[in-house]
Amino acid sequence: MHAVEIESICKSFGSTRAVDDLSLKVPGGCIYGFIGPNGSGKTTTLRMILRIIHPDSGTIRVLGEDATTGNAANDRIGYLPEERGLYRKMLVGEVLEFYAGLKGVRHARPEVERWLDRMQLPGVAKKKVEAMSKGMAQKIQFIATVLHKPELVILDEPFSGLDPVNMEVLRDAVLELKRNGSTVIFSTHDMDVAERMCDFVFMIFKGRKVLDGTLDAIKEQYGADTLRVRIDGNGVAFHELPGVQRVNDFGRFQELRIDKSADPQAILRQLAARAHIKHFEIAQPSLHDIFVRIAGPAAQEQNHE
Amino acid sequence: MSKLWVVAMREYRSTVRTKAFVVAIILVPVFMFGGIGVTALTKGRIDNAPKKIAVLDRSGRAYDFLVEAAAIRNERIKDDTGKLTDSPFEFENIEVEEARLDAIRLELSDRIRKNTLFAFIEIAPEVIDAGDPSVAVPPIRYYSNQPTYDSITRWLSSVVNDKVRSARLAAAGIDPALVDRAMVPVSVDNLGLLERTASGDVKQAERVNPMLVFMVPFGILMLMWMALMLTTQPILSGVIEEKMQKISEVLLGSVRPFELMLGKLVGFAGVAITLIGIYLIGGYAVANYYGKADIIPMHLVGWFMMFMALAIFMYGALFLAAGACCNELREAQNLVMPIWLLLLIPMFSVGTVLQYPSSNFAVGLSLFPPATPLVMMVRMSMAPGVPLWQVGIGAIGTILTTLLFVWASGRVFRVGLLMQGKPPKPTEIIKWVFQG
Repeated sequence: MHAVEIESICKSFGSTRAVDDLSLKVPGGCIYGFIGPNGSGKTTTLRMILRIIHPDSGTIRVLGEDATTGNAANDRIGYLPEERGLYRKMLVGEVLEFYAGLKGVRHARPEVERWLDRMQLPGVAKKKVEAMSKGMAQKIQFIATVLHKPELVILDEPFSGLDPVNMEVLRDAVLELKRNGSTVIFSTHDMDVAERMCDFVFMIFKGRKVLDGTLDAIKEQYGADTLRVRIDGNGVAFHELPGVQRVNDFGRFQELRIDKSADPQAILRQLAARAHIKHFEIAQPSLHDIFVRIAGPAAQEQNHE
Repeated sequence: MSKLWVVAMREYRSTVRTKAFVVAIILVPVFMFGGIGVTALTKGRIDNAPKKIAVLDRSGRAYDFLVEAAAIRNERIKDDTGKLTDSPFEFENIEVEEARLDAIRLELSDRIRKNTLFAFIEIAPEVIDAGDPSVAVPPIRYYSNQPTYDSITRWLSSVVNDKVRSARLAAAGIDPALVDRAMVPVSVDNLGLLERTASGDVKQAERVNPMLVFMVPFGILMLMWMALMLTTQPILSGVIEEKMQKISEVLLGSVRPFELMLGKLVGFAGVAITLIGIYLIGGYAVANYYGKADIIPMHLVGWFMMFMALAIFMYGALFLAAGACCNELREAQNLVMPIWLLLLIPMFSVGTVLQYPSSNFAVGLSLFPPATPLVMMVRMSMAPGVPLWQVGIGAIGTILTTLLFVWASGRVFRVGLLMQGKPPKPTEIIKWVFQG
């Protein structure tokens, strides 16, 4: 069964079209990554799945229910908004019980305590939210999202601004949700996270779907057109190598995107003649690279505006 | 439905537990009754050191009677135990040399600056024997460097006027004692109406207690006003916080917008009723202690609670809608201005209503729904009371208006909560109401 089925939805705000003819199927029990530049329609799509706003046209089914219209709040869904989402003046324990209550869970205290321990937040239940650091607040927000054991969990940028330790705690919790049978949809700007965690990746750009599928299937579309190279010293003009379209310089190594017709072996020989090669790899493009290929020019345009 | 209660309980608890609420509960009685306490506390702590005053008596006839009158006053200001409750006056006669008046005035001024003298007064010759109406009476001159201390000037004015009046009457051959008798004022007794009792006797009208007649309606007005003030502010800042902190997104993922709004209103109506309950019980206890429990109009409590709750719903809904349209409190201040004006109408006109509770104006205003809760309650707490049909129309009108406001605000609330960027224009808000 599909957790979410979206059939060619459109949504406009005034004259801007936020989501344009979007279709999507999220299988139950998987982790689905939403990627896309800022302002491309991610949050709008998530809000439509949550029934906070409604599409102008098209249909949405969530967990088997028609979610196209109406504002029936769904207790089977958990939602973590991008940043914040907690009453600053309340005690942590009270906020969590309040959110659980809103989802119809009574007497959530033991469950709250269990989760606080699980997320390495012992003893904060009696502290005020405003005394929490960003990472702690994010973990508390996550607990609020999952306390009622939702079947579908929607996380908007759950990992932004977390240090590696907290990141790991939260990642394990998300993976545990999946193991327990929940479906997880999360949006992220961190392509490494998407690549490592998601069963499926969905990219939206200017309101339209541009990528959708398993990571392997997506990479397959692009083929092995990337060379990862590390050399001693520097000063090699990679641009001058035959068949190199674009150079991504990461400092310690470089990624070269080559023409489909170019011969990696020929490039290797040319390179060997010019520098001392420490690493040479024919690879599929990273998700990061694919993202930049699609959104790069537009993202740069936006920055110049 | 149960979610509505979850929201209402949270709003109720978090508001009742704020410092502002607790402070208000304590502070208001302090302001209302504190004045009396402060006066009692500072009594006896005022400056009652003798005031030394020089008299430059150019008439040559004033000094003696001033000393005489001051002696009487200095006796009168002593309380039962002989303790002073005010400063006694001590006079010093200054020799008058008409040729060097300015020099004398300057010397006296310097003594005041050096604190060896408190003030000096100068009495022109014409002051005492001013019998001729064509001659302008020159004022008594009072010189000091403490112009706010007015005990001396007030006392002087009355003493000298008495003296001058007697002198003038005597000059005209009239006995001043006769004038005093003729001038005794007649008082007016303010009474209620006579009634016929069950046994057929005539029950005499009771004397109206002027304090009580105004205190009860005024107290009712202040209570309701205070409850509105204390709830609208958290309503507004609460919505804005939820919007800024993205809490509203989480809420809307769990609760229907209308449910959310109603939950908040129920919570705040609860806050207002709690507040009023505390004052009512407190007020009753105090009144009972003094054996005056019957001044609290218990038969109005039910109506009061109903109108109070309606007022909270009516105005709370508007404040919620305004808050939902804004991203910060500062922006909201402009939007809530018209709501405040609506709220202030009854406050501004309450003086007229208190004086003429059955005038067309008062009746009309009490049937104008935004003003009904406050004005109707004020009228109901005063004689001659309000006919039941007026209360009925007022209540129905208020309920309908409240429903309309809640419905319209609900639509604005829903759109506004998810909107980012600058606040909408009033025309846009009205559009949201009709388009939803």
